Order: sequence, then C-alpha cells, then structure tokens
Amino acid sequence: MTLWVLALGLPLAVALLLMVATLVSGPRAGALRDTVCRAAWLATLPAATLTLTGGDEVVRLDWLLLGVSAHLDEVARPLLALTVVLYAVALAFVPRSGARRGPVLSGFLLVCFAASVGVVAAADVVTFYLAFTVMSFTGYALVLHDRTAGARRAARIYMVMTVLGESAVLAAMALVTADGGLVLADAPAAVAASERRDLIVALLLVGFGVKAGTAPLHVWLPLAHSAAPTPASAVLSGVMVKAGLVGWLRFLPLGQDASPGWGTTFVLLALLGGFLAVVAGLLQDNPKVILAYSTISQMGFLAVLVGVALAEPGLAHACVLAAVVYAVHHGVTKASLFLGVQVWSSERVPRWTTTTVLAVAGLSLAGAPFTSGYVAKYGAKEAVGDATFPAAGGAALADVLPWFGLGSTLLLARCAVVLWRRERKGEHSAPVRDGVWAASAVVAVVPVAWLAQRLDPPQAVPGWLSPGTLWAQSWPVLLGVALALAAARLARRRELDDSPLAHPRGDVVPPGDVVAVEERAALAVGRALRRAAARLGSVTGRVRTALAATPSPLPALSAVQARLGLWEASGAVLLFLAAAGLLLALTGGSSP
Amino acid sequence: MTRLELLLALGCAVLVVGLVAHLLARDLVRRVVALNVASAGVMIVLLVLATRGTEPDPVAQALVLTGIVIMAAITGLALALVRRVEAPEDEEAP
Amino acid sequence: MNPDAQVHESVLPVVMLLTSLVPGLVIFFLREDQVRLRTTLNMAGAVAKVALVAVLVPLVVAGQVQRAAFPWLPGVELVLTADTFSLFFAALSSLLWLVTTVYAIGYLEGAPHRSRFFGFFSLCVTATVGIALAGNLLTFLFFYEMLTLVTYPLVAHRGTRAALDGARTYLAYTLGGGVLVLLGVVWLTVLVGPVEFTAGGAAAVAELAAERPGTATAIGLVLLAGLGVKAAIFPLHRWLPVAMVAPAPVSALLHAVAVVKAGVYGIVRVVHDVFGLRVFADLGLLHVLAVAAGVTIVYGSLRALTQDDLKKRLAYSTVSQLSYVTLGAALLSPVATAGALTHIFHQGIMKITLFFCAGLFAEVLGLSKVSQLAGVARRMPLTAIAFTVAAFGMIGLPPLAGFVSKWPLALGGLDAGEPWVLAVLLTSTLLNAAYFLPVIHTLWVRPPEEGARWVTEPHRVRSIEAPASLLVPALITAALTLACGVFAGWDYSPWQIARIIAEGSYP
Repeated sequence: MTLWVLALGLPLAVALLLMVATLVSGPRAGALRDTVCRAAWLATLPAATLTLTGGDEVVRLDWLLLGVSAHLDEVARPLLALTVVLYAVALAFVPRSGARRGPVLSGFLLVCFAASVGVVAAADVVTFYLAFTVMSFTGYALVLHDRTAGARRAARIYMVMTVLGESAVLAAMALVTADGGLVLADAPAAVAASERRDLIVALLLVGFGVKAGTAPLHVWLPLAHSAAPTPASAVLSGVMVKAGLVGWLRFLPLGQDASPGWGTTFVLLALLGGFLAVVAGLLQDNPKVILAYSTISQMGFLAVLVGVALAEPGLAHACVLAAVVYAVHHGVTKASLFLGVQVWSSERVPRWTTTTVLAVAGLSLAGAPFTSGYVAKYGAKEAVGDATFPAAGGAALADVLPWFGLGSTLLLARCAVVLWRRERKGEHSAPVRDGVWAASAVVAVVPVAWLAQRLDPPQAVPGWLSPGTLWAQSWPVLLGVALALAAARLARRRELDDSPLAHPRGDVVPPGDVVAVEERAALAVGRALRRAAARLGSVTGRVRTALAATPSPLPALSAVQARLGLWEASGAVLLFLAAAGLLLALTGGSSP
Repeated sequence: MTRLELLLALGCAVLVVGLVAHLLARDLVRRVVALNVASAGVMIVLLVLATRGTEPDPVAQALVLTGIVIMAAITGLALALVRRVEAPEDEEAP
Repeated sequence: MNPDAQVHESVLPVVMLLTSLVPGLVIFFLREDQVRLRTTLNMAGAVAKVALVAVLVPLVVAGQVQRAAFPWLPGVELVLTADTFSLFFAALSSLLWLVTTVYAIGYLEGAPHRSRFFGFFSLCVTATVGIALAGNLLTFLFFYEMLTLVTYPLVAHRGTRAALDGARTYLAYTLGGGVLVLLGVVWLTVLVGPVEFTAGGAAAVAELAAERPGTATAIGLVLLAGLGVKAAIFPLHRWLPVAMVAPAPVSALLHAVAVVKAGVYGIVRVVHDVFGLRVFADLGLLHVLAVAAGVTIVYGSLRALTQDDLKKRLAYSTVSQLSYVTLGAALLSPVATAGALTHIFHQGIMKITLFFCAGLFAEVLGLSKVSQLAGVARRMPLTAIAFTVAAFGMIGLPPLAGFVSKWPLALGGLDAGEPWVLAVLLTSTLLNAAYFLPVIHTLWVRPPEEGARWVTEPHRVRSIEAPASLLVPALITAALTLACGVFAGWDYSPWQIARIIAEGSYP
C-alpha cells in the first residue's frame, strides 16, 4: 500500500513543488526549479519498484473520491514497466533540451505520469476515468507548451477531440457501471450480457478511438505530436495513445460471446487508418509528423488484434497478450525514434552513432530480424492464427499484417531522408542519458522477448535462426527498402524537380489531413448556431416591443375613475348596490 | 291593507325619496333638505312601530322627539358648513 | 424528518436564526464609520452559526432531530426542525455566508450605505436558514417570502437606473412566484390541514392524492410553478441574468446560496417530504418536472455559449446547473436523489468560487467581459487557478466535486429507467466545456491585448495580486471544491450525508 502511495504521490508532490516554485519569483526559487527539474526522473523510481516487486492483490482506498482501487494484473504490469521507463527517459531529456520553461514541462510530465500509472493499473471504473481524464487534460498542457501559433492550433484541435472522446467514454462508463461492471474485472462480462451492448461498444470504439488514433478520429495526432516538445511527443506516442488500447482491452467484451460485426468494423477501420496513414505520412516533411503518422499506422495494427479478439472469443486471450507485447515494443521503439530526433537536432553526439541507433530503432519498428519488432510481430501473427477478414472475401489476416511492416519501412525511410537534410545544432550533450537512449533502442529486443515468454500462456517467440521465419518477417522490410531506393532515384530526375509529389513539403496533404475539412465544418456549424441565436434574439425582441406598444388601458381607466369619483356617480352606484342587496335578501328570505 | 301598513309604506317611500335625492343631487343645500326629508321618513316609520301593539310604545315616541332635536341641530351645522364651503365661490363672483 | 428519528424539543433552531437576525437588526442602526463594530458583529454571527451547525451535524446524523414550535395562527404552528436535510442546507448557507461576509467586507470597502447592505445581508441569511429549518409548509412560506423582500434591497444596492430596473424585474418574478406558492400552500392546508415535512411524504397528502387526484395535481403544479421561479426553471428563469446588476458578493450569495438554492430546496422538500416520490409519480407530475429540468439544462447551457459578459455567462450556467438538482430530484432512484442533493452543496461551492473570481477581476482590474480577460493569469495567477479549478469542477472532471455529483445523477438516470437523462447530462457536459474552456484558454494562453490598461499599469511585484479579503475566500472555496471531491468518502462529506438523506425518501 505504501508503495502505491509513494508511486503515485511522489510525482504529484514534486509537480506541486515545481508549480509553487514557478509562481514564486526570485533567484532562489529559480535555482530550486532547475535542480528539481534535473532530478525529476527520480520521482519515477517508486513506481519502478512497484512494477518489479508489487503483488497482484487489489489495493483499495475507500475515502478517496468514490472509492479508488488498483491492481497489477498481466496486462497492467508490462504496460506499467513501459510507462515508467519512457517517462523516466523523457524527464531526463527535458533539462537542456532546448524546450523553454523546462520546469513547467517537467511538472506537467510528472502529473501525466501519475495519471498514466492510474490508467494502466486501475481496477474500477471510477479510478480509470479519473486517471484517463487527468491524463488527457494534462496532455493539452503538454501539447500547448511552446505557445507558438502552431502549438495553439494543435492544442485546440486536441482539446476538441479529447472532449468529444471523453464524453463518449463517460457515457460508456456510466452504461457499463449501470449494467454491473463497476469493477474492471467484471466489466467485459457485464458489457457482453448487457442489452445495450451495441451502444456501449460503439461508444467505447469512438471514445477510446480518439485516444488511440483510429481513423477518422486521428486528426489530432499528427498535429499534437509534432507541436509538443520532443520529450512530450515521445511520451504521447509511446504511452498516452496506449491508454486507448488499455481502455479497449479493459472494457470490450473480448473472450465473451463473439461480436463478428464489431470485430469486422474494428479491423476495417484499423486497416483503413493503417494504410492511409502511410500515404499521408509520405507526403510530409517534418520528421515528427511522419513519426506521428507511423504511430497511427501502428495503432491500426493493434486495433486489428482487438478486432480479431472481438470476433473470435477463442483467440481473444492470445490476441490481448500479443497486443500488450506489441504495445511495449512499439512504445519503446517509437519513443527512441522521437528522442532520436532531438538527439540528432540538438545534441553533440557524433553523426554516425546517432544514425546507427536510429537505424536500429527504425528497423525494429519495421520488424526486421533480431529486433523487438521481430518478436512482437511474430507473436501477433501467431495470435491471429487463421482468422479471416470476411469483408475482403476471406483473406487471412495473418497475410495482411506483414504489409504494415512495408508501410512502416516506407515511412521510416522518408523520415530518414527528411531528418538527414535537417541542420544539426549540436549545443548540448549529456552522455549518460544519451547512452540510456541508445541502449533502449538497441537492446529493446531482450526485454520484449523475455516478456513474451513470461506471459501466461507464453507468446510464441520466433526461432532466431530458422530461415522460414526470417524470410517471412523480413520480406516487407526488404521490399520497403527497395521501393524507397527506387523512389529516391526517381525523385532525383530533373523533370520532377518542381513536382510537389516528388518533393513534398507537407502542402499536398497538410498534417492532420482531414482536420482542415472538419475545422471548416465546425466553424460553419458555429456560425449557423450564432446566426440562429441572433435571429431568435431579434424575434423575441420584436415580440416584446410589439407587446409593449399595445395601447395602455391606463388613460381610459383614469377617466372612468375620475367620473366615478363624483358624488352623484358614486351615490348612484351605492343606491344600485343597496337595492340589489335588498332584493336578494327579500327573495332569498322568501324562498321555502 | 291596513292603515298601519299604508303608513309604513309611506314612511319607507319618503325615506327612499330623501336618500335618493341626497345621493344624486349636486347642490349642497338641496342635499341637506333631502336629508331632512329622509329623517322625516324614518320618524314616520318609528311612529308606526310605536303603535303596533295595544299600548303606544313610549320609547319609540321618545326616539322620534330626540330625532327631531338632533335633526334640527345637524341641519344648522350643515347649513353653516355649506355657507363656509360655498363662500369662496360667492366671493369669486363680482 | 424521519418517522423513527428521536425528536428533541430544543431551542437550538431558534438560536441558529438569532445568530444572524440579531446582528442584522443591530447593524441597521450603526453609523457608516463604525467599521470595526460592524465587522465584529458580522463575523461573530457567521462564526457562531457555523459552530452551531458543526455541533449539530453529528447529533443529527446519529438520528436525533431538534425541533422548536410556536403557535402562530389558530390551528397552525410555526415549526423549526433541524433534521439531516435541514442541516445540510443550513451548513451550506452558513459556511458560504462566512466566506461571503469576508469577501463583502473587502469588496465594499469605502462604498456608501454599508450598514444598510450588511443589515439586509444578515436578514437574507436569516431567511435562508429559516427556509432550511422550516418544519412545515407554512413556516417555509413565511421565510420564503421574507427572503424575497430582504434580497430586493441587496439587488438594488447601487441605486443606479440599471440596478433599480433589474431589481424591479427580480421583484416581479419572485413576488409572482410567491403568490403561486401562497396559493398552493393555502389550498393544501385548507384541504388537508397543516402539513409537516415527513420523509417519504405526508400520509394526509397521499390520501388526498388517492381521493382527489385532479386537485392534488393542480396543487402540485401550482407549487412547482411558484417554486420554479426561484429555482430558475425555464421559462421562469429570466430574473437570474437580469439580477446580475447587483454587486459581486450579492451575486455570489444569491446564485450560490440563498435564493436559487431556496427554490431548489423547496422543490425537493415538496416532492419528497410533502407529496412523496411515489405519489408525485402517480400523479404524473414527476415526469413533467424531469422534462422541464432537462429542457432548462440544455437551454441554459446554450444561452451561456453566446454571452460575452462574464457574470451573465455564469448566470446562465447557474440556470443550467440548478436543474441538475431538479432533474435528480425528479427521478425514482436513490442514487439520483443522492446525486441531486450532493449537487446542491457542490454547485454552491463551485459557483461561489466562480463569482468570487469574477468579482476579483472586476474589482482589481476593472474587467467584466470574457474577451477582455486575455492573459490575465499572468497578473493574477492565484485567482486564475481558483477559477480554473472551479470551472473544471463545473464541467465535471474528476477528482473535483462536480464529478462526485454528476456521476450518481448519470447512474441514477439509468437506474430509474430513463436513459435520456444520460444524453442530457452528456450534452450539458459538452456545452459546459464549450463555454468554460474558452474562458480558461483566454486567461492562460492568449497573450494580453495591446495596450490593455492593466498591462501598462505598474504593480508591485512582491505584494500579492489582490486584497487578501477578496482573494482568500476564493481560494478557500476553490480548495473546498477539490476537497469535496477528493475526500468524498469521508463520513461527513456532502456526498455521504446526501446518501443518508436520500435513503429516507424511499421508505
């Protein structure tokens, strides 16, 4: 219990300290801020201890909020390890990273860290929603951090999408709780047995799909991940989008009765997003945007696994575990790539070292042999088994998945081209953290393979030297590299010098692709609403003036009153009343 | 109809005439005179009530006598007030 | 009042009223420059009332009810009872009166007619606590009308043309509502006799509803319409934005504590403790109330979107949020009732924080429109933090108080078999985000306008951003917003007490 309190409380306490030190001005506060910022990554250590030594009983605090509980199950523990490692490295990269107001960034990262731990380890709906909300809203602060015009736009779009997603998630949470799924362990069964099951699944798809970058709700991702400072991008891509995955894994009726319709929907959307993201990403010229599109594509891969789990309950458990392994692999690799962008641009590491590490990380993402991607993709293919994709006439999904690898290779090749052309500023250097970064990229295969074998039941691990597996995993990479080289040769031709397709500058398809369309639609809706409100206001105004302009009865009344006030008139009235009363009394008295 | 009933009706009629004239007239003196007529009607009614039994009722007769005196005093006061009220109007006339 | 609670005849309810009545009456006769005496009287009364409430709460939660009764008209008594629900509302009133007193003292420093203001201020709280402690309908009516009368001078305090016009509209609406309530109460009392509030509904009224459902429905409608004026149910809500001409402490008090909460409290009492939920539902009125509340929620949020004046925006937000309580009270589910009662408390705290901050912006920087607030967080960070916390609470984000009351309302709607409640709540959450987040964005993110007066004026860096008497209450209530959410599991938190009260309505 104390370990939990420390794991969550220490980051929050340090964040509070940073906030107070920011509000107070003065040289001593400034020195305190910098010291704490530099040591902020230490605040993740209790959580690291928790991952390694924490038991898997449910920990409960009944007086907090409406009762919070947490526990480390087989899904939570690997993802918690991922969270700790990524945040620690990201926090280490904040000082001297070129990001302005480093202490503020560290503070928000720490709060985000605590919330991410909560999302992964939550054991009931309220805790999950609490952590999810805090994480989403802190993410806004992260995206907004640089305060440039681009950052503000990205943050605004992020916020709109997040609020929409949060509402869908809240609705789903309420429906799940009402159907008996307050404790997360009971949630999938509750959803499966519910009579509003389709509505709940739809809400979960939309709500967590925003977070996980499912098309067409992905539009915030490229903008946000590129606008945020690089350590924050690493965390956004590495951990925060995984929160969407966690939501799906916790709430969807996986392993319960089959939902082939929803399974197909998930797979369709995933494939759509996965491949269209590649197309959009190839037309960009900002390495972080390209990496963000790569994230969308990879999250599509994960969504395919979830879709298969929905459609075939027999494969559900294997798919869930495969998704967890893949999430860990993708998180580490993507974070290394993002941080590599920062290392390339602003650190004094020799060019060839950086290139090698980045290449290894890129190959890992694509799934080349002897990398973590090799293990993860193999595990995913085995978990999917012989599930078919009915909408495409029964094509086996296991045959579709390797094409993701091709897409990744193409994107990473483009990213390499763009990054190579960028200037290097080479101002700072911090050998220890750069060493950690390099290690995380290169050595990732070891923990991922170890994790795959540690799970229960153990994931299939590819034979390291069997030629069949090697060929099956590496042909997408080889094909991708070949295509990339061919495209590079083609683009160098003189007549294509001005073609925007050959030398994209992010103008054919702007980052965020459909967001421009959606923004225009949203603005039009806003204008229409305002016009309607104005018209309503003018109509009520006219009604009111019309009512006020009706002739007032006052002058007539005053005249009558003046007349009656005369003696004779009032006397006549009095006589009339007296006569009437007398008549009534007489007739009333004579009735039998 | 007996003589008493006739006199009763007469008294009520006189009362009503006096009241109506009092309430509907504008001239102040006329109103005072009408009030006197009304009081006369009341007195006739009282006298009729006084003779309804075998013996004449002394209390009712005493009331009528008191009424005459009070009416005289009131009429005097009323006329004095009327003089006061109408005096400024008379002064305006050249 | 729970039928199986122990009832003690005691003088404590009367003492609670006197703690603000006596200082109020004395303050009327003070001269303008007797500041220290006036402040002492104010604070002493406020602290004494809070202390009394704190003493009574454990007793009442354990089941003891304090009651004081005075004969008034023949056959009718004036009854003051301190049961759980009464103390709940009285606790809100007294606590917020304390902070608002501090705020008002700072806000009106140097302003004219302070004795008049604080006199009526104290009378206003007396009336509110009287409403809270009322034990039967006639006592409730008495203090309800008293509240209308003593709040008029507060709304019209500034004496300008606009203030008097606003106050006249306010009076027209609330007196009209009062007449309807009078009609309803008298009608019911004539038919059934004096009605004491009984948890689960008075038996006599249930008999009336069984024998003469048409009459009972009519009485119910009349009462709801009358109470609905103060509870700002559409279309009787117009007085609320118009009454924003009052000074900020008055807006804070009216819109968080006294008038609107009195209306909503009255509705809950009438529905739950006079008619009883079952009877009200059988008469068909529960559904009418729920629909009216739903319409108000959406309408208020929509209107708030288009307001540039900060206080008007907060006023429409109040219109919308109050109907959460009405909606929750109109659902046949203990969870929904508990959520509604909790929201009475939580919405009060959050709204008062927002109004305090609006008053701070107006007093310190002279800003009253949302568009003028660009970048103000740099100059007044603490105020901006308080505003942000309260705004997030209003949107309903955990772990703040707003979530703790919205979540049971959503669950209760589903529990009562009315899923449209969830849709209404979600729409309202989205709209709340739509009109609060831009304000927060403007405060923190937008760079200050060129040449804005507050930017060019020098200000001492070492001092705090605003007078302490204005800033501290806002920070206290913002902290309370956080505390009521985080510590909702504590035995005496508003949520837990609301659950206890809600159990009583389902015998």
